[in-house]
Amino acid sequence: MTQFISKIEAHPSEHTHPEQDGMIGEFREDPPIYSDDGVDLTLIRWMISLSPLSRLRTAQRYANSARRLQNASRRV
Amino acid sequence: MPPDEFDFEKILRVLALHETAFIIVGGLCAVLHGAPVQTYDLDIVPSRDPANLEKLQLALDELGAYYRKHPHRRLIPEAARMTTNGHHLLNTSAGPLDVLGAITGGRDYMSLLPHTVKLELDETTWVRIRDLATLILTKQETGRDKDKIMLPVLIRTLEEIERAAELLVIHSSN
Repeated sequence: MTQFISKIEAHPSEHTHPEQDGMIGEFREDPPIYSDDGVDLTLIRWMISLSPLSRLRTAQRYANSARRLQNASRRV
Repeated sequence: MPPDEFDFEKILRVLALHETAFIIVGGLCAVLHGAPVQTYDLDIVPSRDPANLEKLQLALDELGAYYRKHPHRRLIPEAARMTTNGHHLLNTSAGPLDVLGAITGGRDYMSLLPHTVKLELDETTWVRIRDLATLILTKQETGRDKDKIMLPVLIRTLEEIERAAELLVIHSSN
């Protein structure tokens, strides 16, 4: 944990959105927002917090939204 | 015509209703583990036991399955013929369903089974999915572009699951 905190202090922009930089002092023990390879860890944490059925339904909603957008763009 | 709405939940419930033995692989497997990835079909590897293929047939009939490759001919799949490693890419009334005899490396139901976990969707329905560590290993082995793209998200998802489990242990011991 100590290693991780010192890394944030050294390279804040790698782990936070620019608009969140000001929050580092308040929440310096929070886990990083992005991984070193740029994966949004907040999305993963949110998905993990859901039940498997909710994850399934979320994937369905996204797929259906994407299809509706595709169909709408074809009509324009 | 493909269905207007994806309803993966309905496909899974119909398969479960007919007590079909199958393993969810691919994108939806990643989603069920908690990976924020998008997918547009459901990939399953069924047990090729003849009795199970009969159950699969009942489920496919109920879902109105037909081969995607020939949408206008509406070729109806015959589960009894799904005894090889071949892939059957289907459309159903609830969305695309890929029935895979085996996946990369010739992994069929029996060889995948030891590397799976059971997930309860609710009191009446559970599904079996590949465990995340094995899913990652396979994608690292194949090295296909589409797998490389998904790998960072899968690896970070596994790390976050492990981190959350550690936190749970810490909280419960305090």
